[in-house]
Amino acid sequence: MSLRELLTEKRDDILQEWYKAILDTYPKEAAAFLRRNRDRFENPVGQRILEGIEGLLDEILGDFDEKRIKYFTDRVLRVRAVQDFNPSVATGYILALKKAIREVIEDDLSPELWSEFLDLLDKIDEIALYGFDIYMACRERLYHLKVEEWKKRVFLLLKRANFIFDEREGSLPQQ
Amino acid sequence: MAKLPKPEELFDSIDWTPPETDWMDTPVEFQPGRWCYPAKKKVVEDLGFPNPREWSPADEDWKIPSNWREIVLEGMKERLEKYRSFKLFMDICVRCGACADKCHYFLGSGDPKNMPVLRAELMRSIYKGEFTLPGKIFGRLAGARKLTEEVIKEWFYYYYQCSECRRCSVFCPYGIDTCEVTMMGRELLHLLGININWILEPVRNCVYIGNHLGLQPHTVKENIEYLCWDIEEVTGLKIQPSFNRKGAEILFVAPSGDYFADPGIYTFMGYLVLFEYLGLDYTLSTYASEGGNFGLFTSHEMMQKINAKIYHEAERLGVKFIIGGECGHMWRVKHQYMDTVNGPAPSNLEVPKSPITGTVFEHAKSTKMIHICEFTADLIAHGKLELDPSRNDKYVVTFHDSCNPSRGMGFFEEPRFILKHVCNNFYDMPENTIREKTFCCGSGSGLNTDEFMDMRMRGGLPRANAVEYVHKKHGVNMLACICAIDRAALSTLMQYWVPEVGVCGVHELVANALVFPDEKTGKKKRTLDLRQQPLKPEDEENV
Repeated sequence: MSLRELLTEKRDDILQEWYKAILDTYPKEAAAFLRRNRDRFENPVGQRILEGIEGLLDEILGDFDEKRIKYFTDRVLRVRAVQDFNPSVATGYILALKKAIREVIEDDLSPELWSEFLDLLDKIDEIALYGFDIYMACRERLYHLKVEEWKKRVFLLLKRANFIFDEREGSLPQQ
Repeated sequence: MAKLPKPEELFDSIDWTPPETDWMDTPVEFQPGRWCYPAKKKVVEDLGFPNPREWSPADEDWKIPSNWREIVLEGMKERLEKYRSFKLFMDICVRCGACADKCHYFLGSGDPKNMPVLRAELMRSIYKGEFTLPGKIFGRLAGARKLTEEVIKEWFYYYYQCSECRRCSVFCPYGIDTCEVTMMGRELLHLLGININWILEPVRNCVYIGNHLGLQPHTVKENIEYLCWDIEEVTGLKIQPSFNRKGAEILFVAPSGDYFADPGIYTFMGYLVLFEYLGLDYTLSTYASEGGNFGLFTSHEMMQKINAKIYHEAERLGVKFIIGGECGHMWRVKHQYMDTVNGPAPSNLEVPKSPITGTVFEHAKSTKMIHICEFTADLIAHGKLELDPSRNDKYVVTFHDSCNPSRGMGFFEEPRFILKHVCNNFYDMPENTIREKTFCCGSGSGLNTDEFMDMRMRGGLPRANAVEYVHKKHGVNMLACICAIDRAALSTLMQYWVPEVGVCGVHELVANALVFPDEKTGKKKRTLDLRQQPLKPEDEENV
């Protein structure tokens, strides 16, 4: 059995371990709520995290498509970038996958799977690096929005004084 | 050489789980992005509020009066006697937990003290510990504690992390309105000189100048005239609204953001275009130049004072009734308080009767003030407006129920009725995120300031999440709302969570769709919307 087959077989267990590790970064009352409520509108944080980590794990086991990986990483990090976390803890959820995988497949990890296992770790590291980019982009976005908000707030003043360089519409680039 | 720890050991040594302490033993950590700047000394002085000084929540010493305990307990006692609701809310909670997961700040942050039940408990524990016998005897066992400086800091942190949206109260089987607990918390903090500048400076401006932004009469007039030039470019109409005109039939009052900020100005242009279409006999005031009322977020007295100028001006100008613009908390004040705190309305006012349709707005018999959306919805229902909804075809629209008009006055259908007539593509967000269950923009109750950005983005996530859903499902690209704070705050919120979606007021879309007689006969042609963007993509013919 290849490592990929093994991981695919244990996919749900790994997800559960990983989700648990992420929920552990929240206060216990919040973690209980995030786990309990499955409504995507009433529990956007929990559901976004689940969507993000399920998507990532499937990419790791599947095509490892860069665009989709960035999308799923963004789902989680856009939320964690504005929560009570240091950058290391906010982005650290990606690296927590390593531990989750090790815990689930520990007994089945025979020496012939090691090289595949090292490749897997490299992939997770690669995602972690994307994660740093996304986290920084989110934080920069917030500062950008602060400036933009001030311009909007006094828009007519700036417009009347001819201080608006460009049209309001679309002056903030798509991220 | 020191022994290197194995990766396994290193991993195990990292503990990301927050410490498990009882909420009473978990002190507040003041982190940037999660609290608002305190009010300036001068502003507090101008308003005659207690204890003006330079201070910061980040400091250890908040420079509160030495007899602060006495002041707060006396203030609490007075309010417990004065407001029966406050006393009830302190007594009757059974901790069923129905409200616990209904607050947008809790949903976004995961901070247990943002659960409405616990936010109220911050105050209730003091009530028990200082005012009730079981609390005095059993202390913590009865959920009671004593008032300390730490508690005051905690109150400041969490009562300015509540947007008074009242979503939690919808779910409370006892009808406890945590918003009113927040209001009491803020009033008590004011007694010690603990407040935020983003609320008090607009209050000061409103009291001294007439509007939150501090725009003086000539600036109000010039701004609106400037908007009229823009309207002329788009529609060819030369609109000359009157200011402070005695004898007009209607006084129109809008939130000041609508004639200063983007995208509120397009909503204001929408009002003007509609009034011109109707040939309405209305006037604008440079004195009652603010529909909003940050006094509501300060104290009952201040709310009353700011609201009073609408009636003063209506009386001075001798108008027959008042129409109010698209604003959020302005309507909560009008619906719940205006009649009792500032009524009865001046005798020159009459029960509002639409001069176009003859509809009498019976529900406003006492306040003599109606919402522009009910006025417009009535016009549409009577077929008085020639509308071409295809002019808004580039937009796929959804509607955000602003907390105050929806939960504060049950205002759900009128804006939707209008939207369905002025645009062809309208989709509501999922049922548990709209109408009385609507999610707050995350910036209400005077918290829409930039230093509070992190909290605002968290608190706004449930709303943005629902917008994202209709964006992906139906291609929604425009979020309409009837609140000036929403128009400002949701724009920023969308730019973070769903940048493909813009924000507008309902009357911006009304004006886009409104077909003037000259346009109908083909004498004139409208190619631009109020934002001076093409009505339709370049490859399609503009009508």
